[in-house]
Amino acid sequence: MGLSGLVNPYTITALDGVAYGLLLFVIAAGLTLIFGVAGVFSMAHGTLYLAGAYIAWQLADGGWVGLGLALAAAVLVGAVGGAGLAAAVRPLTDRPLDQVLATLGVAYIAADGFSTVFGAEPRSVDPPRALAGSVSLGGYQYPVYRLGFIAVAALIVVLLIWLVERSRTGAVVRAVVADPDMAEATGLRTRRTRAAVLVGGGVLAVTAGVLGAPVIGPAPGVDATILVYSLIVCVVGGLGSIRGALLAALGVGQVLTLGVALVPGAAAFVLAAAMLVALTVRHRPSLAGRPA
Amino acid sequence: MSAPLLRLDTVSRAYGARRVVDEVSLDLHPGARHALIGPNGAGKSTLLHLIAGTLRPTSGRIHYAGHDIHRWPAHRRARAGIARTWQHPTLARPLTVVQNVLLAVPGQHMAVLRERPRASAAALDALAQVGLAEHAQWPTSQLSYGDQRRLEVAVALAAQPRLLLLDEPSAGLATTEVARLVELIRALPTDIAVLLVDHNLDVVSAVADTVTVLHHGRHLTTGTPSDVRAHPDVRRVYLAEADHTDHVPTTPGAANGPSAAVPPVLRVRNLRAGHHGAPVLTGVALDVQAGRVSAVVGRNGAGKTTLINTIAGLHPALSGTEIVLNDRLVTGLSARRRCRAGIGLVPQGRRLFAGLTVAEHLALPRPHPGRPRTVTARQILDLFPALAERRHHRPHQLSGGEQQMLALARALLAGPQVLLLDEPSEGLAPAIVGQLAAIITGLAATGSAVLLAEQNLALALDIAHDVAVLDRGTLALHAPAADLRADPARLHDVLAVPTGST
Repeated sequence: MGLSGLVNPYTITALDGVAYGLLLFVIAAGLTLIFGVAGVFSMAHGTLYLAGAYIAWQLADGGWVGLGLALAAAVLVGAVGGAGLAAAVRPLTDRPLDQVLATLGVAYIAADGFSTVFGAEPRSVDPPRALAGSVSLGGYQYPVYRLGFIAVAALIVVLLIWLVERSRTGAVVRAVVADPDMAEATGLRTRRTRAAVLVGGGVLAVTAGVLGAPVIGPAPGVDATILVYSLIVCVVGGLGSIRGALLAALGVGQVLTLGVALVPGAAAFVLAAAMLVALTVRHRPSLAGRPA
Repeated sequence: MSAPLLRLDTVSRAYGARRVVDEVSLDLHPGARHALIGPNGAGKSTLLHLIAGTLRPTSGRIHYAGHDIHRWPAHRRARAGIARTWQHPTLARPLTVVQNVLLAVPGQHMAVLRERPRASAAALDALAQVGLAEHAQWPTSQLSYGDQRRLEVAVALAAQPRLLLLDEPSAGLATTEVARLVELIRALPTDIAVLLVDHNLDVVSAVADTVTVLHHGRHLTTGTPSDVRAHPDVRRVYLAEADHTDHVPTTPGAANGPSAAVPPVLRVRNLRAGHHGAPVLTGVALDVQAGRVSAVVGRNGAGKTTLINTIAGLHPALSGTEIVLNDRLVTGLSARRRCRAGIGLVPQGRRLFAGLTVAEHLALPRPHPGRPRTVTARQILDLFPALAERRHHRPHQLSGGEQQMLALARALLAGPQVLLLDEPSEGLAPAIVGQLAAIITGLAATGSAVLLAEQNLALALDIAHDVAVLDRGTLALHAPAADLRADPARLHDVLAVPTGST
């Protein structure tokens, strides 16, 4: 039949890719807004994800209460982390290279701290028992938690796009991106907007860590991996663009799952090539000889 | 006649859909003294960039000394004898004066530290040409602004150019320095062709034998300075095309019209501001009263936008500046606090937020809680019915007139007590300008104080109660508009502009 014909090892892998892509989006959406709105080049974004994953490992007990506690802790840690980052880079405004070095330093110190506190071995985080099993999809077993994750992440996507593109808050954020001076002269609080975006981005990244821990669990090095993939998503999607980040994240998710399954050797190259194309094409607004 | 040294053949440069330079053709013969003039945004600087190679043309050819150079990189053109100065001095500030010149001497290359005697002699020669020989060993950063500009010319001359491009050499110079600059340009060797962009038409008339006028990127006319001055199209598009006479400024504020007893909403005293260290405004004083429109007119580059932006808090004011709104000193406040305090800005070029819809623009401003909201979004849409139909459109989908209405609406929603309007009629069709005039007059009639910076003299005289002329960093004339309408010769004396059809 149609449905069972659709289900094969590749579509199952592609479904994994969707989950992976949505996870990357929730992380990278914050980063792309931090870049685009606050103009901050944060290299500590993967660290926030890892912090969330360790929170999940520490607090998740297989029940809903543990997950709820972990999510509450994530919001707190994300907000404090974002605000701390905003305070740390405040003296470094308009010095992007110094911001990179400062946040990279924060990331290294945090990574060292994580290894000391939680040990150097990878930890696995179990999903809540209610979502622990797997479900049969046309003859294949698929983890329920991953389907649940896709649903929750899709909800976050919708809320985030609504917030940025439909609400007044989003209009303020986009006005600050478009022309900070004029936004200021219209009476908008540009500094507070930038700080709020850093806090929001931090909350998103740590929350993604809690929700994503059963998929990509806490381990040393995860922060760097997540940072690199988030940067790719930001660059390919365009800094500050939520929709762009969504498309890029879904694409990267597919490359990292389906791409690796189909052409293992070429997947890394495809990612680099996508970045190259995005960078070269986007920054040539008019090609020579083309009529205007 | 000899073959041209430089020939531009239908050269264009586009940014997206906008053509900044639009099919300009131009010949420059060896030894020419050629000037490019035109209103802001006419494409003058872009054209210089295209010739110097810092920008490539989107289409068209550039022939120089028998070669098609339109694909050559800037350094190759420089070595072929095209030298330039920049709109703002671009010097290696840690180096001494003579080291800056040595960088440009051919054959000297990177070995600045081991000067060759011949190169040193050439560098000192170039410095002597601009009268800076005695400052050769000074650190560049200690030179005055005017001397930095002359040093730039020396750097350009040291490269032994056949074509010298000067980008606004007189910008920011005091009167005496401008006179020295004119002397310097006139004394340049006659085998060097000079192409000059400048807003100061005294300089242009003094040094150029041929003048080309650009407007919106297009070539308007080329001729001798007097031909160009008499050209009707030039008179129409370019405000300040004629010579000026020495005019003794009247005392600002003395002729403030019949309502001088009413305390002003906005009081500005000793406003000083600059760009890159060059003074632009050197002590502006003005009052704006409730219910009145005060206009500031002036030549291109006189500093009208700097004045407006400094009052709004978008441009830093130099020490001593006093900006007082309703007896409250706002000089030290940020642009946001000034907006909250009651200064509304409708900036030059509108500066709408790209990507935001009309409705979103109108949702942004929030008036200060302590101040009664004077208008609501509903009333604004009644005032600008065209915007109501375009609530979901974005700025690039709006006409110029609609964009201007939106910029005005955005400023009005914050409930300002004084409205700053910077070139509101720029780029608008006459019928729209008429609508705009009616709206501004209506705002003043309901008690708003309006400060209008305008290039369009007819509009300014039409709607303003009093008019001030900005010239050389200060207000040179301040008079009731009615007097000026009755006696346009007074404005002629300061601006030497045609007053329109009447």
